[in-house]
Amino acid sequence: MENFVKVKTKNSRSKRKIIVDKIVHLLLFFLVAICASIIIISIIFILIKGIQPFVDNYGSDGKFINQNLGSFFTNSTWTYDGNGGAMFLVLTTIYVVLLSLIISVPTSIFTALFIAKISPRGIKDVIRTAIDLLAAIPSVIFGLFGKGIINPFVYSIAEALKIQTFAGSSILSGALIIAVMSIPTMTTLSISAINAVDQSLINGSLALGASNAQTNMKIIIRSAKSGIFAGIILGIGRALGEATAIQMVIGNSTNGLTFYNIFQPGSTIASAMLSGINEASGFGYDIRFSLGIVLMAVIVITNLILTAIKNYNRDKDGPIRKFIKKIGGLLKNERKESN
Amino acid sequence: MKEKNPINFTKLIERNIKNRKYKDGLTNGSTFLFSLLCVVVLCLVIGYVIFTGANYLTPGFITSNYSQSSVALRTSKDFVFDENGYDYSDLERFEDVSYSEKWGIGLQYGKDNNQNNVIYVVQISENSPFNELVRRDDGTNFKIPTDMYLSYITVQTELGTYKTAFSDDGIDNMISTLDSAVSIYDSNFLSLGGGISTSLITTCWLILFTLIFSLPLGIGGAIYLGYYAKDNKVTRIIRSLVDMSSGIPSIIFGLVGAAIFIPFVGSMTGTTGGNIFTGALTMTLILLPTIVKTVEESIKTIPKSMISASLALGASNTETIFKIVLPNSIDGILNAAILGIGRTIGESAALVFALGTFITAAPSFTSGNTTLAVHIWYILAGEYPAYEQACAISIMIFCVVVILSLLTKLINYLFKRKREK
Repeated sequence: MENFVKVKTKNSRSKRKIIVDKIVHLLLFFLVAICASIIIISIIFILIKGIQPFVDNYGSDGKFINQNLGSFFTNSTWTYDGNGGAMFLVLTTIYVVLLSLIISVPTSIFTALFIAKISPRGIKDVIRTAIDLLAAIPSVIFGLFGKGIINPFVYSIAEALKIQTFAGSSILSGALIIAVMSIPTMTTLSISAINAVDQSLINGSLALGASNAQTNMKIIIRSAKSGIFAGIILGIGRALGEATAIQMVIGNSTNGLTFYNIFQPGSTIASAMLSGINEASGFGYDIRFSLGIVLMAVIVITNLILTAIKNYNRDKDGPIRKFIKKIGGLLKNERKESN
Repeated sequence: MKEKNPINFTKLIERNIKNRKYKDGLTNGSTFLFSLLCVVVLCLVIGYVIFTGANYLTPGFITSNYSQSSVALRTSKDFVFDENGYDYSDLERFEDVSYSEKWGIGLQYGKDNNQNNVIYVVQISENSPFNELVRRDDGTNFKIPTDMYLSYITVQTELGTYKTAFSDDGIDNMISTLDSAVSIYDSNFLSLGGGISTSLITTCWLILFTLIFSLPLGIGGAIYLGYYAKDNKVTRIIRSLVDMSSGIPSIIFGLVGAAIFIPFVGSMTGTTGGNIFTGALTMTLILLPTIVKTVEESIKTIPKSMISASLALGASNTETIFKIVLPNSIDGILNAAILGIGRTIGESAALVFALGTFITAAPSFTSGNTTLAVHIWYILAGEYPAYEQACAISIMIFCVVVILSLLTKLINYLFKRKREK
């Protein structure tokens, strides 16, 4: 496009135009550079602030207090005295998200299928609107809903089963809330994946005598697998970072040893970052940045693993297959040598 | 050789098809049930919020402060009740107001923000001793404000004993107590507490500043990506970086706001801790990827021929941007602004870090504040969660969210029609 303007001219107005053009171009590049550098600057600053609690001295009167790196990985309770352990928070976070997937994945896949292929037009619009609205509800309102409805519901279940709970504030409530909140993301992406399935595949299946329902289950879902999985990955990413809603329902227990019991209160990384922030200052405030690093690491690693799993079946010569082949080859060689 | 029984294929197929019908019905039904689940959850959320909060969403709730201010008044120490009585003929009488004939005041029931009955002094005669009440702490004259209710009153009777009447005990008790009094020893007036006016005003300011900070940045970035950028390595890196930052959870951006913007704004204006500007800058970080994406999408729908025509007519790139690109991507910009408003209203985790956690008495640009969402979080965090008030705020947020999503649909519809023309 610049070629149009690069006409040699002695007209001073045109010259000024060209100079203005260059300035605007530079300015816009500067703006986009700011947009792009946000993530880098953010990571750098969180790293700097998050490492501080491990290094700086937070004690007064000659006492030396900082976060002990060893207990950060091994201790099973989360405390603000320098010996808190964050690993159980990581485990609880993953556990809660896995629990939520049991509900959210089938719900979103079947809802997407219903909207895209099965439902008549009127019902389709209603459910579509419901999902759009569900996506637009702020997380704090989900937290309110969880505290007002889901916690009593979980409490009554626990009563019926004669299991002790803390007024329903439990890992189960957290998982339910997370499931509800991740359904819109997963459904929306699943719908576009299902809509993208090649019509000839569907026609082929129908021509072979399969019924509509059989085609839906065996052809459409299988063909849209990769798109649906992408939606699930996005949903999991959102779920891992969700803070307010889950902090309001999960009970914020700092003792991590009971996290396998779904009726016991727990604490995820994000909820631990948020809970008790009213009173926090000094060490209790700065350690939240360290948790921020942990949260980002968990999200990045989970995403990498899930993307690798997604790509595993698709490319035959992907990095993981190569890696496994390499290891297999090494083992074979070893066996040969030992023989 | 004996022939085996021939298989009756027609029967087999018929049975198979019959079976399949049931199976198909079952699978289709289950997909319907699953999608019904989404609708049911939405109805539950909306129903719970509306049924719990609707009664509490009153004008008083919206306009009053969260903190309750009180004032204690008494008659001055040298006050003697005139036995001849006072002339209260100026008092206009209404049916639903109860009057104390001895003191010349009219009392009426009102509601506080917890929907309890409280008593307001709605009318005071010009000659009433109530006009000469003084503050108990410093003895200055104080006019009873109309937005404060009377929580209790302690009077001295003719016998010299003290008698107290509480607002909870009703107007009749209050009036009989007043009628037996010769002086007011203590009367406590309270303003409506538990309101959301501060949070509401802060939310509006926050939205304004967030849009001011984020729209120019986001639109500029989008114009670069949609108009200038060539498909090369730098552009791809920029694109992937912008995409990546949309996947970061908002609580991380809250940390960034606390780590970067609070010291930055503090060094410029001398504030400590979060304020509206740090909150707006943090929201800008959260919104930028969305704004860039939305505006860029809309820029990409502009026909190439239009831009080429503008350039061929001798317009410079800058002129083309301002006269062709921007006016034609106005729907994207509006959508981005609406998305930004919606996100700002609903955001809580990031603002807890970047804006403040305590509900303040008055909106301020220099100290921590709360938005409506953080207000909900705060009043639910205590030992006695205020569900009703939280639901009342949620109704407001929900209305805004619904209106915004309708607005988006309207904008898309209007611009689609315009394009088709």
